[in-house]
Amino acid sequence: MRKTMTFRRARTRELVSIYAMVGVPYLLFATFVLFPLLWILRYSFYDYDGVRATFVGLENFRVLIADKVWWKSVVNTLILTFGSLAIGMPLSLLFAVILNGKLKGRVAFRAILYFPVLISLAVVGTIFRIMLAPDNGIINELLIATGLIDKPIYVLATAGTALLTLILVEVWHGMGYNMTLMLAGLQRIPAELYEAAIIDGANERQKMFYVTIPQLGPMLQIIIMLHVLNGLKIFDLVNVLTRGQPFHGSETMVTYIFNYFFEMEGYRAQQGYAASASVVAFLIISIVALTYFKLSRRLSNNE
Amino acid sequence: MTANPKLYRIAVRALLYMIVATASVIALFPIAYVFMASFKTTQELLAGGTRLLPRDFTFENYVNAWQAANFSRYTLNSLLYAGIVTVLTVLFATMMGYVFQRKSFPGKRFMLGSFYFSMFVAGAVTIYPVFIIVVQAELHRSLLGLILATLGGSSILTTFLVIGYLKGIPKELDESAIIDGCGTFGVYAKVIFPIITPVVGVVTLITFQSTWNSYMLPLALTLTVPDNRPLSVGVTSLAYVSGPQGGTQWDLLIAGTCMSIIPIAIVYLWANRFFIGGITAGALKG
Repeated sequence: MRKTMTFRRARTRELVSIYAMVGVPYLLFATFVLFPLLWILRYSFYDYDGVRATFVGLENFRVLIADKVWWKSVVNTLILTFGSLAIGMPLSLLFAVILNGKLKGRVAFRAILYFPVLISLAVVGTIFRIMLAPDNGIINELLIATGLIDKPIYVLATAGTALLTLILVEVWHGMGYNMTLMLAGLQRIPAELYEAAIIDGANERQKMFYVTIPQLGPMLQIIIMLHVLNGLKIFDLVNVLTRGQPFHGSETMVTYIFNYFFEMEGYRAQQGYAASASVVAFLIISIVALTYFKLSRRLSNNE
Repeated sequence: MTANPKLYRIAVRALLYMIVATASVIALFPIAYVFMASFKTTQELLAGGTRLLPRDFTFENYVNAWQAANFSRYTLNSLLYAGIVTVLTVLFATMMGYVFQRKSFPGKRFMLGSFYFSMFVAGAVTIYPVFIIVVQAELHRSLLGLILATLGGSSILTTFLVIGYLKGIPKELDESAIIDGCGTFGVYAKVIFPIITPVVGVVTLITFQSTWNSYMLPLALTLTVPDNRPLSVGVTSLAYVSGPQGGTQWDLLIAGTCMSIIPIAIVYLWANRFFIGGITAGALKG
């Protein structure tokens, strides 16, 4: 009897310390992450301009679905995400494999290729704005000096080249990150597998396709997943480098939402409408993520 | 290929070096260019040209940015913002990681579940309600609002990192400390925290880098209070503002860009092993 009493008192004391330790950080999380999610869900059904809110049911969603600029933003987001994936992943794998070999100076090369990752994507945007400037940017000057072009070009002036530029800058910035993750995966592949492959008479290419890539599989799935989830939320780079211009040609889901929330670039603030766009963006991100989960699971089951 | 295997090997090696060297030049060129340009005179910047090295070496751009364009304030903001968020995230993530991994208590499953769920959306689409909360609490006038709002999200992934690390540490250590009379918090402070220093290093670097580089949240929360801007927001806002003579102020923009890169580059050169280890751990556990 006495024993259970002291036990209970000890447990109470333990619980008090537990909640004291978790309480403050969780409260911050609830205030700045969970509550805003509920706020978004609620106001997506309201006509709300920051002052007055009236319930309008699904009206916001109806307008959103009919808005060409919104769908352009969705398509642009997908182009940027999968474009940088298609160019960046093979490059990352190539450099991971090369720098996993016995090349002299490989540690220094790894450090150099990782360097761009350190820089904020917003600041990366300014760096490339400086370099791409039509009147005095170094890229134009170099192209003219080498005779590749006659007069300065401004790649951010048309939608297609603006998107391509964003993709290439993203690859420039993210390649080192994915390469480093892949290197970590490569270093875990047991050397015996390669020895066995050599005994079986495999050449370099066969080693790549029958040992390296299958062994790297689970790691690649995580890397691609991270890339896609982050890619669909792209904002910083676009907002600095192109501002979604020209004529919304490089607008993305999050820049679209941000502009309606904060009344930027000639948008009129409509927080209720932006909230419904947020909900739809969340649904799109979830659908892409779940489809990817299903596909990658099926792929790994087939092996 | 069979004719002279040695020559073939040398050729392959030379090719690999060429590929890696080209990639290294591409990776470093934009950074080197901006760094060199920051020492050029305004006239030379406006004129353009293909020279990488400045014709006349000058510190004037930095002096102007520091004194005239509020960059001293932005730098101080960035240091305070990233520093305070990093210290508190380390504290929060290690405490939560310890409690979640070692203890069971009512509400634990809900808390962990909500952490996982939030990783899908965190930040991007909830920016406006965060802004509203901070403004209504009158916290946007100082850096406090920005710091608290960042802390709401910064301790999620890092907590999972700590949980993952603690799984590999035997519980007998805690138990012997309890026998010695340590309470729940005592075990954390005297036993757990000193043992998990490797993961603390990783959490410190990840958090410092991402806070120093963060853009969207500080942009939104300082829209009405430009004096509270950290470097990332202060610099990029210059790209769209014309100077007194009209046109972009290249000198300030370039000097500011370098000022925002230099601190993180120094940290990287000093601790790049941790950086690489940190992102790997982050992806595997996350």
